[in-house]
Amino acid sequence: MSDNTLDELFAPLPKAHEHYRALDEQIWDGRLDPALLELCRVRIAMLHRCGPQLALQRADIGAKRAAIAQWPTSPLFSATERAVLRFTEQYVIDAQGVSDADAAGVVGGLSGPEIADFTVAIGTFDAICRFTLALGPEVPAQPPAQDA
Amino acid sequence: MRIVPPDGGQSLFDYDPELFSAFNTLYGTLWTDGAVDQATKEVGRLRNANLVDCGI
Repeated sequence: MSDNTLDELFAPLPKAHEHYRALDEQIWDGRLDPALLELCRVRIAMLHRCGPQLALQRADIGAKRAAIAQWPTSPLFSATERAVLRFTEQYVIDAQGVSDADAAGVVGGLSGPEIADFTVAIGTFDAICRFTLALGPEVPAQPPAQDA
Repeated sequence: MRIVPPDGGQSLFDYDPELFSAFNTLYGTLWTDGAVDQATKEVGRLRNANLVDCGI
């Protein structure tokens, strides 16, 4: 992964950087479909308008990358992908507002181990965006894209 | 609980103890390493928990 912004932000904390890298490596090691993770990672970066994370491509998701904001209606997305994106959006916007229905959609599409991995992954992706935006280089505010 | 832990487990994360261990290693490092004292970090942790209404 090439992410100079994150490397620079973690520079004062080499131990934390090392352990973040170890966690990141496990998240992406195939225990959960990397394409499913990438959909969630990109959606989180879009919601936060996190440029450095939006610039990354961690897995091939083809035409879905440009269509993520249209996941509720686009035929490109499977039922499981819609369920995890629905949960992910609610988690980022208001975690307290995650409903039984949001959770049930994920439970219906993923196994227990996959749900554990998914939960750790989106928590990490969300934290990294917030970390990057709070401590990274100041950039002019960008208006949200019309399809965001 | 919305997601039932595995047999013998206490939480969802017992489904993948290896990944949860990696998360906890990072979390523990953030508590014990760095220039900010733990009391100050605890103030931030509690404020965050309050803002997201997390009773845990």
